[in-house]
Amino acid sequence: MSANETGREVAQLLFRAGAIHVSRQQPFILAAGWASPVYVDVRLLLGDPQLRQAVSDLAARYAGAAFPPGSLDAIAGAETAGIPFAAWLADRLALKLRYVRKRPLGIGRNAQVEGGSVEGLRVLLMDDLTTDGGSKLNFARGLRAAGAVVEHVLTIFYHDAFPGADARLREAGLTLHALANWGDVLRAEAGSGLSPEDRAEIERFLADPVSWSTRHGGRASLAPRT
Amino acid sequence: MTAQPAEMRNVFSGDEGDRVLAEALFGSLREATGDGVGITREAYSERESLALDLVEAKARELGLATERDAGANLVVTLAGREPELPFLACGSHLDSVPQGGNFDGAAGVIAGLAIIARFKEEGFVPRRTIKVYALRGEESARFGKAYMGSSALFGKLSTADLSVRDHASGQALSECMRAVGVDMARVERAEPLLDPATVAAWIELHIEQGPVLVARDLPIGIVTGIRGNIRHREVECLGEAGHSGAVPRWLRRDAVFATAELITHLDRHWRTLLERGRDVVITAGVLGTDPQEHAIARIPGTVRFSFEVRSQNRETLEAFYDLFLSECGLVGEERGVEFRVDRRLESAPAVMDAGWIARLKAAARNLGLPDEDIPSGAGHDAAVFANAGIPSAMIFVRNQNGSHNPQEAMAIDDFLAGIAVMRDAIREAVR
Repeated sequence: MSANETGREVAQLLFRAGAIHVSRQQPFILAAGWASPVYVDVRLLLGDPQLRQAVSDLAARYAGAAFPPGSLDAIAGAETAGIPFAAWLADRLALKLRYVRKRPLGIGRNAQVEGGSVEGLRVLLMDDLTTDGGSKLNFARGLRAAGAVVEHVLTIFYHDAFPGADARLREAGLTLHALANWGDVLRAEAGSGLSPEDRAEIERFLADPVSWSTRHGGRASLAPRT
Repeated sequence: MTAQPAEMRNVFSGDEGDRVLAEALFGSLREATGDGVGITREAYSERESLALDLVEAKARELGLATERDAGANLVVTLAGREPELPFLACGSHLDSVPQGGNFDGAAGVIAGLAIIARFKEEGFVPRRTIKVYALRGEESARFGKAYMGSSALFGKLSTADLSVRDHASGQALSECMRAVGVDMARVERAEPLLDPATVAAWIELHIEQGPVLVARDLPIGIVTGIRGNIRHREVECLGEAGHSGAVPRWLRRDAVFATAELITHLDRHWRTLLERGRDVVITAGVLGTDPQEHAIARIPGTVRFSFEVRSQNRETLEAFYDLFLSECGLVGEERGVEFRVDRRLESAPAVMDAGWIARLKAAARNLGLPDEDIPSGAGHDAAVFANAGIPSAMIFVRNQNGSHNPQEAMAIDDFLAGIAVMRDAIREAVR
């Protein structure tokens, strides 16, 4: 299955789950202060058994192709919504499962990791959504502090409008793999749930997301601090 | 001795002799050093001296040998068969905080006296000499420095310590010590007044001063260790003041929210460490925004607070302190604020002697009393003795209404239980 096909399938699942929200007037304020007319609640894929099986199959197929057998030891789910998706993926790939907290809890090298040791393990970090990449850096830091080798991040949806996420992750030695992004949402068939006005607003936004953010009361540039 | 049935465990009729002595001494101490509201016998003051005189008079009445040591503390001695051996020391402090309670410190002195008075009465001559100490100057209320009497015994008072002044009178600690007869030449030279090698053990009975024994329905507890601490008297959280309506969340550097978040994270870490079996308590006892800048419509830019972590275990103290600094950094980054700490203050934890803990527990069990552990959150002279290398132990007696206040209370039956346990343990050790 090509990346485009995976993206289209995931986008359709997101529409079926009612996960795609557009607000033309009152913007959504996302992580780090970016204003956006679109918000995707990937967690809505958890609820329905058919939807979650479908997205997990897609994730497993993607991972099976992207990561040759034997190249990974464990999947680590990012707290919170990344955890169930990571669990289903780990099951399908018959790999160890761990999860990573947003912040360390207690003392010791493993303070951010639950489910067992990750010392020397090659770990795929998994999360439901990636916006500016900041949280992924934090999760990777926690895993690496516990001795894991982390080079890849798998996210179901990449809100790829805002600058810097890719570069940030690359600088930290992480490659971001996304099953779907906004391009996939727009390429999804007509009648998928986007009105022409919504589609137009999204396209305006994607053409210049920083200006859109600035015009709608959000951040105008990438924050100096991570 | 058969174990008493469970219902009886909390009423210990103990010993009539102990009861009479306790009631007499607590009574005369209250009469002589009561201030109308509570008890006031401040460190190195005339009323502390009066208290020592009262206890000394009773000791003499009981036919015991008394003297004042180079630290002007009262020492009551029961000579042993082999007096050249290291002696067993027991007792506590006799000073109080202003308007405090009658039992804080005095209970330990009276317990020691009761024990050797009984031995003398029985004609029991211990192998080692036993000395009961009524120590001066344990409370930090007057000079800001705690355990002055016991610290002086081991040459631990610095020039800085000795120069600290009493706020009320302006007199320096050294002057007040000199006035009651302390050998200042030696104390000022930091020369020990007591050679730790000559002391076999320090056993101290004290009221708990906390709520645990009451909550657990235990008359006594055997102390495992005395918590040390690491403190900052003032941590500043520096953010940015702003208009509460005009600044969106992503541009805020709100010192109150940041401090609240820091404390919440520290609380989570605390619960986690407790789950993993560590002994630790943390407190931010002083906290606030600047009243000069108070306004409902203002985002606070500055918060100042105190922070303290206490534990019986040095490693836990340092580990939690590291967590504290690390969270200051993380929260600072997340919230756009800076946490600035002042000078780190600390007090070493003290471990109680395992052999004595076992002895005290066995004595409790043999008397049909519970033998439960309890850590000491408050500091005591026993920590100074322990850190001087002397095997030390404490037994806590349940007390109501906390401590350092006029309502401080202790049930006489609980006290008698404590004396009985301490006596049996000591008798076993010095037979």
